[in-house]
Amino acid sequence: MKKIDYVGAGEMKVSIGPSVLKAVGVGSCLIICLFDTKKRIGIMSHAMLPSSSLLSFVSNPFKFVDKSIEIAVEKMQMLGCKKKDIVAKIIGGANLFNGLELLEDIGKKNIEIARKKLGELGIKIVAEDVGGNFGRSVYFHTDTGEVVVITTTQLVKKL
Amino acid sequence: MNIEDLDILREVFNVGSCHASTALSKLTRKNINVSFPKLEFARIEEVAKFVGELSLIASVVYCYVEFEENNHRKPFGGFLFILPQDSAVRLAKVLTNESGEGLSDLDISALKETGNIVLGNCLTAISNWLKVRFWESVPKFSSDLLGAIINDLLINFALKTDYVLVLKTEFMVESQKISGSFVLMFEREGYELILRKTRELLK
Repeated sequence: MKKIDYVGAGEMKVSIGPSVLKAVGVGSCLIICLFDTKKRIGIMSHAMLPSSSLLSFVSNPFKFVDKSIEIAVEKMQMLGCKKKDIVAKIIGGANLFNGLELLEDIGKKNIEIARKKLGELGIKIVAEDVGGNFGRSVYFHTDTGEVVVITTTQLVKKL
Repeated sequence: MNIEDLDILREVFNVGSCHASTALSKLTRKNINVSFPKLEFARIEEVAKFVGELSLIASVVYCYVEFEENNHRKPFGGFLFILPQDSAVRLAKVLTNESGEGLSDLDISALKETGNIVLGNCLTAISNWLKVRFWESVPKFSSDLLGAIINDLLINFALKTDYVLVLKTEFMVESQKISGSFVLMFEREGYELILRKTRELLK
């Protein structure tokens, strides 16, 4: 039985060795899974907002997609991973409430920023399960790099 | 903020949620049990856990509320009427007097309107008590993972603050096995208003 670690909104967890990183109830939030295919190290971060430039004061950088990615990549390099071995999978960015003025497109913005930021850092996105109007639960197996996404309709998808 | 402040907030929300339950009781013509509100000053990341089981599938009616002061609208908070999916289906069937499984369009419409009436009643009670005028947004409905819904709604708050004051009351329609909760996520201006107005009244 692999150890299961829960990653809440605004959190990031690193796993070295076999375990499952799990995020439940992902709506417009974005889950970024980074995996080193050689060293088998995985990081999952659960970010809520696209960019830290929205705020003047940032107390928790893991709330933001751009900062989370920066820190996650830095962390992996610190652990001795090479950028060319790191692959990314992004999940989430849905829009649950149609037409909730302030929230509109937050999901979409999260996805855009993640793609841009990962592109800038030279990390390849190998799989995506984004958009739509439903929530997801994400299980990231850090021994194989496999990501399992379950939606409310009990649809299971393997990335 | 001290213990007395927290008691005031809890009591005001208690009055509101009792009125809300009365409205629900009238709509369903059933007796309803209501719990005393729980309060938590939670980090954004932990609000969803306080509200309920993250992986639970639930139907949620959401209204955003503003109040009027010196001809300006200021943020008050977000009201939620939460029903776990099985309770949502049962309540919808009681309201529409129909049978069948799952939620039809009519059921969703009925739940949305019920949420609107219930939350409206809660707000009217608070409004009468504090003598403040409130503005309520059109109710939004979503039926999904509770964690996903709550975290989505929290984005509004996450832009401004790291901590949110949350109040939760649970209710139960015993004979129909329907349970659910009323939740209020306060904006800072919202709870400051309640404390200020209550102090004025107590003088």
